[in-house]
This record gives sequence, C-alpha cells and structure tokens, in this order.
Amino acid sequence: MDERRRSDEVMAVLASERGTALNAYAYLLTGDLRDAEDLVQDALVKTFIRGRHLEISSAEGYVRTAILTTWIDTYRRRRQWERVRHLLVKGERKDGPADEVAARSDVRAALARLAPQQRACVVLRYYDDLTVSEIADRLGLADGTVKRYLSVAVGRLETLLGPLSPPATDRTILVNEGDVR
Amino acid sequence: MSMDFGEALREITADAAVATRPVDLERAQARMRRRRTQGAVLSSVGAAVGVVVLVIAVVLVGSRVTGDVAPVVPVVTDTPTPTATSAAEGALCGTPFALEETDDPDIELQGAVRVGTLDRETATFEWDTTPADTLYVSVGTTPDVPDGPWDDLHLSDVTTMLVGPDGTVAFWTDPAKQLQVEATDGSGGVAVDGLYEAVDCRTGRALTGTYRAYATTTIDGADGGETLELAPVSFEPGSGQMAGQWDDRVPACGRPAPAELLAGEVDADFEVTLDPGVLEDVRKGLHADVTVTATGPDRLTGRVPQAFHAILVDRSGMVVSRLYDPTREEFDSAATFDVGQGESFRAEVYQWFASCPDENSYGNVRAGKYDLYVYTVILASAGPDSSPAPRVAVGGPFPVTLR
Repeated sequence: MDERRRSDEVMAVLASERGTALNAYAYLLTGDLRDAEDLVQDALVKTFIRGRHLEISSAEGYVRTAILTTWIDTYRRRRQWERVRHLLVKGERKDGPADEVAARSDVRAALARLAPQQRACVVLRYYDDLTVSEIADRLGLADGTVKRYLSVAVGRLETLLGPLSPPATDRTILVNEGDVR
Repeated sequence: MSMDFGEALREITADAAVATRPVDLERAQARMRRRRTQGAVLSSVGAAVGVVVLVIAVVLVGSRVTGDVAPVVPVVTDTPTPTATSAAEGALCGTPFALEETDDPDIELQGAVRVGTLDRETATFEWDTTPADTLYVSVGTTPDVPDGPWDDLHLSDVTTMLVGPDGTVAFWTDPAKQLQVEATDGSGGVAVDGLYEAVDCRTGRALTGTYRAYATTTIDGADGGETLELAPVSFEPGSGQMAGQWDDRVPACGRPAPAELLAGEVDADFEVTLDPGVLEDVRKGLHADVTVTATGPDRLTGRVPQAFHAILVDRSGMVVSRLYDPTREEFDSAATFDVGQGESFRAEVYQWFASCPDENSYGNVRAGKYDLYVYTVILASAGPDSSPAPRVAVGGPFPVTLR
C-alpha cells in the first residue's frame, strides 16, 4: 500500500509541475486542447493505476509514451476530420495577420491530415528528435514500419507545407522507404 | 526554402501550454480509484458465480489489466484477423440471455451496433450497405452526467451482445475476435476499433434477419454496473438507424435564439416537460428524464433517440451552448413511440453544455443564469405508409443556474 501511495504522490507532483507541458505535447496529437487534456488524463491513469513506484525523473517519459500509445489505440476511431476541418477553412479562421500564426495553423491542419500512427511518428521524429530505431522501440513497431509511416507522413506534409527541413538531430531526409539512418 | 518543422511543432506546443488548463488531478485520482475498485470487484464476483461467468470475468478483467499495465501497442496486420485466441471463446455464445436492466449511478451506457461493409483498401467502414458482412460496435460508457466531449467514451468497459429470436446469444464482443485492419493503399490508415465479422458464433454462418441488442458493463448484474437494451440490429435493407444530427433545423450557437422560440410559438410536433427538481444542481451538463407529448393531429410513430438535446440562452436572447457535439454521434434507443395528440412517452435529455466554437476553445459554458430549452429533432412517421420525417420536440424556457 505504501508503494501505491508513493506512486500516487509522484503522479500528483508530475501533474502539478509538468501537467501543462504534457497537455501541450498531447495537443500536437489531438489538435484540440480539450481532447489533449482528456488524453493526458487517460495517460496518467494508465501509467499510475498499478501503483508501481516510478521516480519523478522517469515518470514523465512513461506518461509521454502512454500519451502516444493511448492516442493511437483509442483516439484513432474518432472522427478526427470532422473535429479539425474548420482549421482548413481559411476564410472562416481568425488567425490574425502574423505570418507565423498562419503557418502554425497550416501545420496544425497538415498534422490533422495524418493517420494517428503517422502523426505519432512525426511528433517523435521532429519534436522529440528521436531516431527511427528509438521511435520503433517507443511504439513497439518494427523499424521498417516506422520508416513507412514517416515516409508517407512526410510526403503528405510536404504536399501541404512545402519542403521540410530534416529533424535537428539528423540531417538525413526521409524520402522513401529505402532511406536508412 | 524549407520549413523547420521541429521548430513549428515547438511553437505550437508553446501556444498550447499557454492556453491549456492545469491537469485536473482530482479527476485523475477519482478515475484511478474507481478503476482499481472495479478490478477488485470483477475478480471477486468472477470467483463466486460459477464456471461460465468466471471465464467471462477472466476476459473482462484481463482486458482491463492489459490496458492498465502498459501502453497498448497497435497490432498491425495486412488482412483482418483475430487479435488473439480467447480462453473464453464461446463462453457467452449460445447462452440464453434475459435482460435485467440495471442503472449505474456513475456511468451512462450509450451507442449502437451498425451493420455494413469494410473496405480493406482504405480500412474504412461503410454502414447501411449491402450485403453487410461487418459489424461496427460503437457502444461505450460515458459519465452519468455529461461533463465533456464524446472522447470520454470508454469502449473497453462494455460487453455487447446480439440475441436471436430463440433468446440465445448469436454474437458478442469477444475481444479476441475484434478486427485489426490496416489500409492496403499505403496511406497508413487503420480501421476504427469495434469492428467484427458479422458471423453467428453458434453456427459460423453470416448473421441474417433481426437481432435484439444488449450492452452491459457487468457480468451478472449483481455488482451494480449498467445493463440495457440497445436499438435492434437488422440486416434487412433500409433498416438503418434513424437518429442523426440536423444542424440546419436547430438553433445555432452564438446567434440570437429564434424569435418564435423565445415567444413560445415554435410549431413543434412534440412538447417536452422536465421532471421536477432536475435543474436544482446543474454544472457542466444535464442528464434528466423528460416527458414528450404529441401536440399535432397526426398519430406519430418512431424510435426514441437515446439522447434528447438542450440549449442554453442567456438574458440577451443569445444561444450560448452547442446543441450537437460534432465529435459524438446520435443513437436510437430500444424504445419506440406510437402517440396521438395529447399522448406521451418518456425519454432522456443528455447534454453537455459546450461553448460556441471558435479558433481554439472547446470548453464548458461559463457559470451563470440561463434559460434552458429542450430542443430535439426526431424522425417520425405519420402512418404505416408514410416515410419518416424530421419532427421537432421543444420544451422550455426552464430557468437554470449553471454552477
């Protein structure tokens, strides 16, 4: 019981100190703040329900992984397109004049066009700067599968956004499945 | 010039971090306590009620534990195949089922079973197509009183069954039989959760005809939980579900309420009255019983929707809540109505008071005093030879203080 109590305490600290960052991370996947908050809720419950003791330093990583896999497993069934389609109707948006704001909206809209697995792989690749192997480990997929998801995803993103710079930690651009890190 | 996509993502998260709310720790802790309790209860009940039930409990508890122990890894296959071999295969199949309806005070069961076909190239399910070879079981639990969008629907907590005319289970949502399908068109798309082959588990042949549908969150009804009958499932052409969203026929959020609504002069086919006391403590949403009375001269028949809707209107006459949540679906219930002028049937309002859409927010209507109107479009037929047509059911204004 002590272990469960300690586990719950770690969750409380994590939610208090890193909750906003976790919500923002989840937002990259959901494209909707409320959905992101719900996704983080699900991930916290999934991570800590067994009462196993996690160090605060590593707990965030577990929760981020739970966010990704919960997104893929559960949220793929949602009618994502209906939820985010307003982002693509440029005439009805209230983005404001700044180019960077418009660019961010376009990025959000482009992300919304990806299948959940592709989106998770793109976030891990471009936001977390993970390698293909690390993404495969994180999501429990084969390296080839991750490459395929990234290849299709990057192709779709570039169709919508133009050429993308390679991830910060790797200047090898994924062009097709034959690319190897 | 190429885009620094990583930087773009970091800017998006920075914006989101400013806009998001703190994690609701109390809610997370409450959910965890509840699920821990559920697991314990299911285990003990499973040990007490006999071999068949025990086997079912193993499946249910097992599925929960799998979800809780570690993040679920997607199973990707080229063709539809069962995800695993169930130890309880056939445990429910062929057993007699008699409904003992139970109502859980904390959760609400919602959803429907749809028939259609699975396009394996795109991994998409199309309902109401023939010949139907696939079932889409979209049945889950959501809070008893709505407090957020549809994404809080939990499918894994529910067992859904189709029962044949002989009263025995012809299909149930065996986790081992759920289809996991990846698109073959290279898009990387995957099929929704809840797809099953439309096969009679008793005979191995395709399901045909009409079946009664039941859903339950418990294995024997003795430990609480919720069990109810859903709309029947039919493989007959043209027998698809009736409930739907009629955006162009309901008051729009962010606009003045229609003058005839405010004046109580809506030409409605049904008048809705709320049970006394249901508006005494209203927060983010409403779940309440209502009485629906036919007002017109025609005798109307149809299927009662699972959820009647409501809107909030502020003191200036502006509609401040969304009637339809675009992230959720509408479902028929098992109940039907057949009413003439002055005759009534019972229904339920289930409504999350979502604020009007803007660029970023998707939240609750702020606390305050409003007028609540029940406003629902349902399909009804005015005779055996007439096609179902949309009819309006209206009730209100009901003064309410949103806390």
